[in-house]
Amino acid sequence: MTQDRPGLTSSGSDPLNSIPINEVNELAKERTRLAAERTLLSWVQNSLLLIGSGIAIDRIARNVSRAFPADQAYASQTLASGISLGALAVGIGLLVLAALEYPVKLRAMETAAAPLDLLQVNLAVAILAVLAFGLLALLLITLAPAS
Amino acid sequence: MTTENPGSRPLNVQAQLAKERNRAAAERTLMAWIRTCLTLISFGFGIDTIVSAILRIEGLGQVDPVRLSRLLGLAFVGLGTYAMLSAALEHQQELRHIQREEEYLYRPRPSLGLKVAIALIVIGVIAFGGIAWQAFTRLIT
Repeated sequence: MTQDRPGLTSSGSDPLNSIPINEVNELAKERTRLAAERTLLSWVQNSLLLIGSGIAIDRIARNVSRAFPADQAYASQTLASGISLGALAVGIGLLVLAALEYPVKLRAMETAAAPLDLLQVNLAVAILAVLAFGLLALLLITLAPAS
Repeated sequence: MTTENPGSRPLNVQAQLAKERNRAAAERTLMAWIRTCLTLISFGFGIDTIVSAILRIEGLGQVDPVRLSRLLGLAFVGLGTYAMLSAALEHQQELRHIQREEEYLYRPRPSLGLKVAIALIVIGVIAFGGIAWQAFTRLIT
């Protein structure tokens, strides 16, 4: 059985319109789309954590240093801004990669082409970012004055 | 494999099972949306509330009502609410599509996930710009 697919061109050269429609395959495509959306949402959650933490660290540090002025307030505020900007940059970068990858995968699924795998790059960047964040935190805690 | 379905077209068991898997997948996707939107709304509300509480402790008198933390908090809450409403509507439409009598056909459509990701990138870039600008002006003064 063949039907015109909504949202796609119905020209004879379109490979999708020349393939007979199988209901089980159509349902599998929808599941693949939902799985891809959940993967994107996982990246959104990770990036949201980085972006939200970045904003929160800077805003809280800025207002705490204004409320409780101390000798080292300037240095700690600059450090907090640096950490915040780093977390924001990593969060935005990861989200951009995930947002670029998602339509490519979706289009590849819809046109039955081999997908381009950007996920490995994304994962490597995420792991390196978390490692760098952890090492920086360890260094700061170790070097912090005891008082 | 097909079986008798009284008063309708023959029942395809494989297709029916696939529909059940799709319904479960749609439900998992809705739950992923609930987690994401809950995080967005909590962050938005949390950032503004904590900064407001610190400013009240500070007691400097005049507090800027249109500060960066409030704008970012409102953007997070707005985005979370919009995404939750859209995801719930999309889920309902998908369930109706699955339950229809006629043969299921995959529909390519715009993605809500991509819209939310782009909106979050814009909010992140604004936050980055605001924090970098404030840090820069602090350094030169």
